Amino acid sequence: MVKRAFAILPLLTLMYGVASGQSAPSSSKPILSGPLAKLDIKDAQIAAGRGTPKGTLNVGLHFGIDPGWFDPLGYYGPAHHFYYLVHDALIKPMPQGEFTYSLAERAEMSADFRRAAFRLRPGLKFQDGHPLTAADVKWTYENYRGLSFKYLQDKIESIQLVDDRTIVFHFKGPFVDFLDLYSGSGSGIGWIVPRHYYEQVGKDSFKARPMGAGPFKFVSQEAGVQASFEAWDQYWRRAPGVKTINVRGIRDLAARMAGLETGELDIAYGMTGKLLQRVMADPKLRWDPNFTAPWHLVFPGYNEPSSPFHDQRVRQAVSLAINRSFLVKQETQGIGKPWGNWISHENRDALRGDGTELPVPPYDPTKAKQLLAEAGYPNGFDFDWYVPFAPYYDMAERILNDLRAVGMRSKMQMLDAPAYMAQTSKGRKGFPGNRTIVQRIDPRPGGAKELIRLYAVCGGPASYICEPKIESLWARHEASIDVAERERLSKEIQRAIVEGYNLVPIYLNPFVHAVTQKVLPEGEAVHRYWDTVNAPFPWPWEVWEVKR
Amino acid sequence: MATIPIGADRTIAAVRAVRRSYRVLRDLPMVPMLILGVLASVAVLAPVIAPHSKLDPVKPTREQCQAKFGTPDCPYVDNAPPFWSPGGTLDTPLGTDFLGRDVLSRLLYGARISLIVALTGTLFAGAIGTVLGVLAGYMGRWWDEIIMRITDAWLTLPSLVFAILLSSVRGPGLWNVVLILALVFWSRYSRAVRGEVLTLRERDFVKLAEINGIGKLTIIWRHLIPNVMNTVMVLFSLQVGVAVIIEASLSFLGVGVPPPEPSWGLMMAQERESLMEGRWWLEIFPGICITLLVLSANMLGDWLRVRLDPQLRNR
Repeated sequence: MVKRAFAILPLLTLMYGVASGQSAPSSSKPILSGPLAKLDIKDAQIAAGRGTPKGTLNVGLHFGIDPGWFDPLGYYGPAHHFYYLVHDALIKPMPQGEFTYSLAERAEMSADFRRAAFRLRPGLKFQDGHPLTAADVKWTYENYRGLSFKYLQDKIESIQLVDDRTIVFHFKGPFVDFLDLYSGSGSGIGWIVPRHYYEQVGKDSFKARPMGAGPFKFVSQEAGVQASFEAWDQYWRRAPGVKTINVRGIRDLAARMAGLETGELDIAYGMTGKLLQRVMADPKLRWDPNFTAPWHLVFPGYNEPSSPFHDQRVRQAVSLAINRSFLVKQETQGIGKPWGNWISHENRDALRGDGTELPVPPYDPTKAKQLLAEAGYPNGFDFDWYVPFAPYYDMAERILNDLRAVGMRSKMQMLDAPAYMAQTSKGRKGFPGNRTIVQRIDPRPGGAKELIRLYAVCGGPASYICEPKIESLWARHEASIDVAERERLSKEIQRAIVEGYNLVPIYLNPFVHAVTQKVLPEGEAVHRYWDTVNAPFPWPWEVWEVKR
Repeated sequence: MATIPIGADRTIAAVRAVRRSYRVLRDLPMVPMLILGVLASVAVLAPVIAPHSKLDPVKPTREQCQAKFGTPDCPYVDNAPPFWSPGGTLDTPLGTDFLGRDVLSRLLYGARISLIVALTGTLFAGAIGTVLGVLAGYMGRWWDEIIMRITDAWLTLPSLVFAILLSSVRGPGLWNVVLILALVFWSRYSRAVRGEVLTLRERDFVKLAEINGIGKLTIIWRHLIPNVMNTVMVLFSLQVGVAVIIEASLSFLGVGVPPPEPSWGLMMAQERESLMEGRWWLEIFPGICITLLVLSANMLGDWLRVRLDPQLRNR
């Protein structure tokens, strides 16, 4: 009798945790032996009861949808929008914190950063009912071919399956950034793919009809235009609030606005520009400024001597030519913030670009002209292309106008988002020639070092910058396992990049989202959907609720 | 018997010539020719007659800045209305766009781009199509089989979708649009010209030339091409309107002439949101220009078709 009472005690404890709707504490039983590194991972919030999904949420995305974004193994671009719908990660950014347990209930790193371990929650399943085990995790990590995969492969010595729920990664050397880079935030890896299904249908069919362990099942898609998802009420954390989510790629701002006004859309992204004033004035709409990351300019191939941007004075002239405060007024009704860093203030270790740590770049067209003359361009010069982020073409033309005012003339190459993302994810290699300026933004969760590693070091998978000084600082950063030293070096690199005008920051972007009255909760409480740190889109989706 | 004074026959001849000229003039499609003439003149003279730069914003006055932004200085005043609306000025008679650029000046320069693209694109298409059509019709056998099968396949492609596809491969750019128009439209010429040549090659003057041992290239150059020019001219005039629409559509979709160059289609695309905000002038004026150009080209084409077709002319 006493034995039986003890046997049901853990069950009662778990039920208490679930019933109370509080954060579920991660399992305390250690996986690795020896001293462990201190990790700050928040516990998942598990809903008290399993409600019934209801209603439809119609989402207006501001660019076309690439089916490639449904496959975490080939990650690039803004794919997390769809990962948070269909897939789930071991650890991922959530409103509770940048690192929040999801499929994993426990994660560890040895103090020497040579081993990492995860333990999965019990009873996890994919949407087809197939159990999600550590073997799927191992297969996902081994078959990842998306952004930064080479870096991961170079670091991993072996992956050890301890049991169905436990996996240990052994590294060739200290790998301090493993959790940062490969847990579900900064890249596609960490988002667990069902091996059985992927192998059964193949890569292309998986993109066409993805399946995962996330809160929404994929229903259908019209390539590039629309995708539909239906609530999976067996999702481990909670049953999703809405029954159906339809995501439509609508590049045209006026069409998104019309969608909101007619009720065809319930939420629309990217509402800055010509119609922001209308959004702000509409009493039937609520909007969130949703600051993401700073816009910035890069100069692919600048370090080749034949490029006009090879000369630092020319790059500085580009920065001085941009009238940021007027641009912010015109594009964002003044809510954007002229910014002096290219990394978001929400990224860990990032220097603030508001004048506290890095100065806000000044506007001085006279000095810009003078610098151009000193660099050998007294009459300015023509460059091949200005490539803006789709679909911010008005903003791009305003910047082009500023550049032309000091003598730098070009035309605009308008690419749709999938093409733009594919090209920019290749870094310098994505843009032939060396007379192009690319306008970028990267609202990516994680540490500033991830953005540096991607874009600002010679071997980075999307590298635009290759500078001996930065390489040397980065080599020291990579060799160090002292967290404080790494932070200092990361900041030193950011400063070097900005001071060398290798990247030219513009302003901190309010990526305004607008919702209709159909979205619950009513009133200003709706802003809770934008609580996840450094998330460009309002995930997680399972918490969204709408009126019927 | 009445006598005709000396010199009267010359007067009669002159009167007849005047009457003939009047009849020709009376039959001319005056309105479309006038519109096309004005647009062509505007395109040629744009740098002279445009009141402002096509690319740079109009320098605002202190009063305009004060009224718009509450400060005495500003880089430009955007979305100024036409001069007859409150807030409009004669300096920018058709208003300014979102970058404070003069709409009238951009329309004038836009005429240049629309006409250059449409005329040269259609001209290249006509040249390619005519040569291929003559070769297929006159040479016959496998020449005919190969060229016509390609032509048939080409004709099945929806022109705008095909143009978008080509544009995404070639990238944006004025001369790329010209190339795309040539690649899209040549098949229409080759099909029509080949039919014409099939009849011509059986005519006596061609047979006699062959009997006299004149080379095939000479026959094509001297006898066939001059005789199909009527058909080509009619097709050309009709295709120009379509080419204007395609160019405007490509630019509207962002795959045509790249900004900041002013193309009418692009001007409309860039101000889609403005219509929602009641700034109708930014959409309406380029729209009117496209309509006038296309309508005039089509009317002229129709007139040419009637004039050059003996059956229709005598009806």
